[in-house]
Amino acid sequence: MTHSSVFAKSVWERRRSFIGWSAGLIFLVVVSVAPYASFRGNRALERLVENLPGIVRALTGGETDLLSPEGWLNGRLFALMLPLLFATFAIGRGADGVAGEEADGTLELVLSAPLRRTRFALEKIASVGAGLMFLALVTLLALAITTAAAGMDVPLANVATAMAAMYLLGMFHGALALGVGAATGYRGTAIAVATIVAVSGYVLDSLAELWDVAERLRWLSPFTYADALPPLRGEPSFGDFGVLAALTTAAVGIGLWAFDRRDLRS
Amino acid sequence: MSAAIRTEGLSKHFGSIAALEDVHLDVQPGEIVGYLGPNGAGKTTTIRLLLDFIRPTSGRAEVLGLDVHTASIEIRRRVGYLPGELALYDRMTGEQHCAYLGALHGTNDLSVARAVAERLDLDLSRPVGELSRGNKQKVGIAAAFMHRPEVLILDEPTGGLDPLVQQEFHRLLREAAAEGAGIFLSSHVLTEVERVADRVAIVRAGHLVAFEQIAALKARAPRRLEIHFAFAAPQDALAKIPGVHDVRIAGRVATLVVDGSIDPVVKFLALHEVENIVSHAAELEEIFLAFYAEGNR
Repeated sequence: MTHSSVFAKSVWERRRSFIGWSAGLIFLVVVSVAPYASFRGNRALERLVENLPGIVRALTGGETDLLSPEGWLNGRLFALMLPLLFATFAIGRGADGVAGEEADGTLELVLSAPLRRTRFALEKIASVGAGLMFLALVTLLALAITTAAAGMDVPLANVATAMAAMYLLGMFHGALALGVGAATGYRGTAIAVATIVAVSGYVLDSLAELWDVAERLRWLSPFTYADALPPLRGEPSFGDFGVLAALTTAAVGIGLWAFDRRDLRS
Repeated sequence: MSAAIRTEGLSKHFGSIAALEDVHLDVQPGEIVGYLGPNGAGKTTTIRLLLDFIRPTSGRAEVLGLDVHTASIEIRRRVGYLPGELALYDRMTGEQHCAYLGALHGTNDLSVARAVAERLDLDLSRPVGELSRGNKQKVGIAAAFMHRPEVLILDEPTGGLDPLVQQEFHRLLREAAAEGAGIFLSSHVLTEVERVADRVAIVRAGHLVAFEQIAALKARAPRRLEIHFAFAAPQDALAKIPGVHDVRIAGRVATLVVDGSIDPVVKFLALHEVENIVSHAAELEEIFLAFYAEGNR
């Protein structure tokens, strides 16, 4: 049943956008992984990479071994592009979840049914989670095929764990957008707050190796807890995953608490 | 038996603005109460308080004897609601809307929604984005009626409906009331409320200025008479009749306004030669405007 619940309807009505996002992510994975085969073992390139200015290295993953399979995947995908895209998707869906329906005026119609506000918002965040999960699985599948084709020696389990970090990072930003939207009723505010947190979190994390102030504040950045290199190397930090899960829970919890207590906008 | 709706001293302030002040209202089962007032008077604020979309600054409200906030879920299970500014999902059909809202009510029985749609001449199979305003409104009406609610709260329900459909909608209302539903209907269309409501509440700038039977309201309403005398109209004498004011003379024709009973006027006219009397029946609209004029004095 496509309209049997808030969750089912919210997922179903986005089916076309899932196709678009999936196509984009598959394309990104292919063009990011494919060149690896021709650069592998290229000494000249390796020397070039070693001599890159620190800031360039920092902004592309902060690693010296850009030409190892893990370094390549991290630099090309996991350090910037995937977090950016997952956060963008999740922020858009999260902001639409409550604040979007409120701005569109459809929230009153739905909440005239015997449905708690918190239940409505939880089904919405679940639909963001389901959409993000779908995109993560599509990306993982694309990575499994392309890394094998490019002869990249990196275990799929490691890639999957790194993808879990991306998923959790995306979920946090989606939860933040949903929470701010639920608390305020303003879609624009929800998008703005979540985007500012995402951008400043990224900048803070990527500058940490270059600037001691950023290094000291690095713990404030959600990106710090979604570093894909350790999982790609088979050394995931589940404590970091726990931090992201806790941040997500807090964002939803505070948002719902405020949502339940405020007047809906007319 | 509990009242369908009861408010006691219900007030709502938005910042320093008092949108609603000390409103006492009730709607009994089987009764249709019309809630009249111009835009911004507080009608929608009252209704949104009843649905727990907004919370009162003071006072309280009950629906079916239950507190609108603490028992909101139980209330919404038993209430049919039509928002004043109905917003639907453009890509979904009318049927999908009913299925969705039905699912949230825990039912997949669309028979009532289909029957209502049939009576209102609505095609439920089209995406609502393609529908006219009136047809969208019908989707909202079908959804409000579909779970056979014990209370109907309808905010400006006939906006965009053509006159024939309005008549059918009024029949739906009377049938629901006959089956025991309490109906609270806001409107600024006075003739509509006059046609269907048992009692009328008039709200102005957040204050309830009248709440009574329509017949009673009309009985004490001012009425305008146009009197054609066989001679020059006697202005001074007319103005001295109890209850008469706003006397205007144009040759042999006098127009005047009578508050309450017109008996003194008839007694006075019996003593004179009168060629014609035209009485303008008290329209609710005049009463309504009179209430507003009081506010402006």
